[in-house]
Amino acid sequence: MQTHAFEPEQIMAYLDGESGPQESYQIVNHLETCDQCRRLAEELKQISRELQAWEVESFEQDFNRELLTDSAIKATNLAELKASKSKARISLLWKVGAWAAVACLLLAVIVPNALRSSKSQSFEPSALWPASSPAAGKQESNEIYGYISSATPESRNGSANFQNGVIAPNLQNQSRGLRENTAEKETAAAPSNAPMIVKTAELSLVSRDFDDTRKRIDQIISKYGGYLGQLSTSAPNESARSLNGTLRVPSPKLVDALAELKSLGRVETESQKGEEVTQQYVDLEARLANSRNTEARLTDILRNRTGKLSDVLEVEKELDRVRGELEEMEAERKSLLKQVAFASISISIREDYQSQLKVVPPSTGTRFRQAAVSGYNLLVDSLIEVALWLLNWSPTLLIWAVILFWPAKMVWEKLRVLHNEKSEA
Amino acid sequence: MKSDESLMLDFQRGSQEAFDELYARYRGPLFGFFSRRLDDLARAEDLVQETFVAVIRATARYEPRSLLRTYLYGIAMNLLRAERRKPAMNEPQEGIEDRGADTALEKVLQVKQALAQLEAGEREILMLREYEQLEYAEIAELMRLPINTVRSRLFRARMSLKEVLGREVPSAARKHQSDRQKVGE
Repeated sequence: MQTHAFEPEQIMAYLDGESGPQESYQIVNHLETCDQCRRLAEELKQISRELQAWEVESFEQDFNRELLTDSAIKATNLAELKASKSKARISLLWKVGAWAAVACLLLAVIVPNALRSSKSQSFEPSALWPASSPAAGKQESNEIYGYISSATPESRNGSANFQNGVIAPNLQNQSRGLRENTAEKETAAAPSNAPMIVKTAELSLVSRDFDDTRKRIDQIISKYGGYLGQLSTSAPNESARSLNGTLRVPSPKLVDALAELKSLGRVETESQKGEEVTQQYVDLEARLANSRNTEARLTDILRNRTGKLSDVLEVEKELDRVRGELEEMEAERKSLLKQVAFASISISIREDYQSQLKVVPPSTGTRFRQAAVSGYNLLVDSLIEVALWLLNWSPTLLIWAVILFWPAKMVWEKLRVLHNEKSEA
Repeated sequence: MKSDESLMLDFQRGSQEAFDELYARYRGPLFGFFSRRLDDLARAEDLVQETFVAVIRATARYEPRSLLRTYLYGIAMNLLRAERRKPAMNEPQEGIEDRGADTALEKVLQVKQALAQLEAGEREILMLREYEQLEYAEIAELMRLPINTVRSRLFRARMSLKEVLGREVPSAARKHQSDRQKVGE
């Protein structure tokens, strides 16, 4: 009798490409060890293969446009189209107004915060370290955004990669079993149908061979056609060195890249996350399409209509705003595609540090020399301190002396006269 | 390549090319959908055209809330139900069995007969998954069922089909389940 970590339905869902990345990974591992589950998977694949035997004839007939000449259909269609177009126009105006209000609100909230935070917030630590923390012995920082080490043209092309919903190629091969006969059709339809998943992973390691780590990371990202998002290393005196960075690798190669990165040391923590953004992307495309439509109509109005100068300026202003929105959405769309195509790995590697024992004390001569240098430094420092104090306070003291001199002199004179009178009496 | 939803929005704005592209993409899959479920191939062809007529009529109301593929199969499913309600279509599964005799391929006949023996709901889910390649969530939306029900019915359908197709018994799945029950005890 054998225990099974997964229900048969979970194995079926995995073969259908319906499991999450984490579960898929676990099922792959389970299938490697469990004969029974592997046999079940084979059976399920076999059923799918047998069903694919039932093929239908291809259907090449063009759309019969005569169907549309039917007056009833046409009339209904036009009426509906007319009514809904006016509705759509009104709702578009509402949407544009709502978006403008939201944008203003966001600007009102974000801009003051951004200004405030730019004053108080520390910047990218790696950019400030050399000046702000001299205690750190040696620090190195690399900002390599945009650098692609040796990515193949395919891996650089975001749209070519985001269609793969499952993390590892071997997982894809497993799930492909059910769909062998329709693989070609799927490839053609994948960009619109495959779920878009933004994959992220976090990895924390302790490494004994820290010197070699940086070189190995470069090799790994080069091998998988990825690039360094950000990398910083820190090597303070007499404590463990560390390396923190963000690596970007093509999403389908995430599991393989993680496996190799884990070989750099002992894994302390590891986590993976997949966020589906298909709905977000579809919404964004729809919003883009609507905005393009608005832009086209405004351009048309500007080109063909004549009117008062104030009206023309108003339309131009509106057109500028819509174009601004379009550019923002286009940038957001590109960013989304890039996030889907390239998985992000946050890596943190710490050296397995062993402190060094210092057995040789400094010589007596050295100690005398250090004491003399220290005494001299102290003398110079104290003289400078006194001079600085005088320079700092002398203007104030001088002014008060000038102000108080005559009253003090008068008081002194009176006191002396009184004293003289008393002594004479 | 443009997504289906973008093409539909283009068509909504009046692009004839977008409609032609959508038609070219889906005429084959929709023909497969109808022809596997109906006795009459000519009627299946008509229903493909009718699906697109329905799309054109509803163009103005279209909003990209879900995948266009689900939307199209939703329309196709409604047309199929209406077709089955017609008197000629009330003879249960006659088409599947009879059409099997026309084909020379024994395997295809075997598959058709095996599918005909499944429970109607399970068969529909299995066919949507295997032939239309719909995801569980899309099937759930079309059949108006919870996604877990879709999954369990799909599994039952596959296992039943395996039994009908005359695979060896007991299967790995059955042994797997009995193991789990023993562990539970």
